[in-house]
Amino acid sequence: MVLDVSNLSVQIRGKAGVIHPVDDVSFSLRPGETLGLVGESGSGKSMTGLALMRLLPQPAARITQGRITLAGQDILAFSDRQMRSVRGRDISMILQDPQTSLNPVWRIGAQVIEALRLHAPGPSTALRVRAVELLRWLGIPAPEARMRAFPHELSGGMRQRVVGAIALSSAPKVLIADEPTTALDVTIQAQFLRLLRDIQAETGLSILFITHDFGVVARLCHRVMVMYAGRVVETGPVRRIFSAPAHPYTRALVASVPRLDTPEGRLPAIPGQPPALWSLPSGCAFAPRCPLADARCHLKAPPTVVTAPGQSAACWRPVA
Amino acid sequence: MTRFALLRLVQSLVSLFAITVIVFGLSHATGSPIDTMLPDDATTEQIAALSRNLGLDEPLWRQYLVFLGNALQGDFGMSLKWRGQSAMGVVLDRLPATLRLGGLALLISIAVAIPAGVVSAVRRGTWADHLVRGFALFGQSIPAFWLGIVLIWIFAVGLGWLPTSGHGGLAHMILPAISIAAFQIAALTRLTRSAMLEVLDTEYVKLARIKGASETAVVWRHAFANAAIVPLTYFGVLAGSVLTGSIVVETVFGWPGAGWLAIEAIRARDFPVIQAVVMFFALAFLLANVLVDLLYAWVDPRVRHG
Repeated sequence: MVLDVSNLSVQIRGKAGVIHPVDDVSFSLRPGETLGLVGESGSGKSMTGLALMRLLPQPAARITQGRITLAGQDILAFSDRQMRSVRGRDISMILQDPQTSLNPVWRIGAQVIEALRLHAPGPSTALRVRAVELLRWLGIPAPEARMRAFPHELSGGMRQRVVGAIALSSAPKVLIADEPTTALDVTIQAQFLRLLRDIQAETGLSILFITHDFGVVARLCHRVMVMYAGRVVETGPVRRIFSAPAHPYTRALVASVPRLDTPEGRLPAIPGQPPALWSLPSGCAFAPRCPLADARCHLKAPPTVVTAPGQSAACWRPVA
Repeated sequence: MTRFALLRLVQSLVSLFAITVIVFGLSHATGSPIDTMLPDDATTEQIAALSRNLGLDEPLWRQYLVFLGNALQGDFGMSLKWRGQSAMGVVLDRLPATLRLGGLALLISIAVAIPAGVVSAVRRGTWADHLVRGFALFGQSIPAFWLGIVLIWIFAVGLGWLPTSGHGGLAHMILPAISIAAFQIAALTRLTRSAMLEVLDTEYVKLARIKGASETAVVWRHAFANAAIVPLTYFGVLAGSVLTGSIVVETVFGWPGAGWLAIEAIRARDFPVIQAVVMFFALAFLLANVLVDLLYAWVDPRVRHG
């Protein structure tokens, strides 16, 4: 395991009280594996990603319990200085919006070179050469010319490649990709995903891919983890998640994905709204929207049970 | 870029022209200088003679054209109060003292306000933030002349560390410079703080942290490089206010600069000197703003290319 997360909880103190956007989350990531992290907005996907980088919004949010083991190191025990040397080098991240991820007043070259210099200092000329190589590796045409460009002179797809180049500059073991294609055109999306897959095949990179797009999950991920109201409700191999989801929420999600091979008609939607994190029901958080829920579901939070090899669900009444 | 600079230059010239009209109009609206130049018992003939002599009997528009033509050559006429000296000469004589004082005030403002605003934003909600914001509110609420008097009372009269007033070296400049700077520090601190708060929340600052950049690099090289455009915009106002602020503060401290000169000239209805002073202040204000626009383009590549 290159990344092992156990019982991770994040707490945010706000005006509405204390909430847990990440609640007792456990998972692990094998070398070269892509784990899809799926869920609705506010389910805790992005907070989980930021917690792994130890870049939660300060001072409101903090990690209250759990362990994060990255390449054998317990990074929650690290000092800020140690953590800075881990960021970008061992674990890195691509953010959702390439429009705003690059510093508007820095040249592209300077932004890539800074990332390189932080983890492998060297003479400027050598760094420059490496930066150009990196941009070329990410499929950016005429990289020498692009080095002198400012972010606003590039297209969205090119910008996201630059962000990718920065994130991958120091050959991290783990990449957290937080909806990196959501803001891109569909064709550009496909190109970017192919690029990620090629890079993964070449380097053995492990990817935690945060998304709400099941199409992307199907194309890219080996395993899927579904979150709801800060908790992991189901984990399993991508094939099982699509063909035999165990948790009623996963089933509802998969059923609401538009497909080309079924007749037209209204897409099934999940009734109701996700619960507010400051007023979670006492039992299973999904129970109020769940067609299978019984009295026990409303009273007591369900345990996580293994429903098939490699597949588990936090549910009293999993569909085996 | 060159087109941008040229355009700004032309706009400034138009403003300058408008200012000449206002300066000319206002100074004539305050009354005739003849009243202060002749004794109370002067005869009508004496008044008419002096009016003719000074060209004050001509129609206003002709007076204006003469004024404009001369002003373009730097000639505002002879001072009425300081006999035998040209208005331009009187102003040029006092200008260096004002620029020295204003320069020091500007330096103090920037040196205090930028770090204070940045720290306040980075440590949002902590005691340091509350302290800075408290001082900023205080600084913006007190008038410069009052602060000047209090500073004299404490540091000159009470403690005897610094001179009460007058022209001299750095020791003479400290209290008046602080009096001028106080308001600017407050305004600039608040601007810097809010600009930084906005920028610190952006994705590119997050990406800088993801890279593993140090907090200093994140705050100054990534965040402040972007936030700087806001305090920079204010710099044009700042440079102007420092000059106009000098009018009151120079009087309080007896600093013989252009501000003090302006007050004296107004008291004596010395039109040529008033006009020369105001034109100089206006020119300084415009230059500062053109400079800001050019710096803008230098700081933000999007302005440069837009």
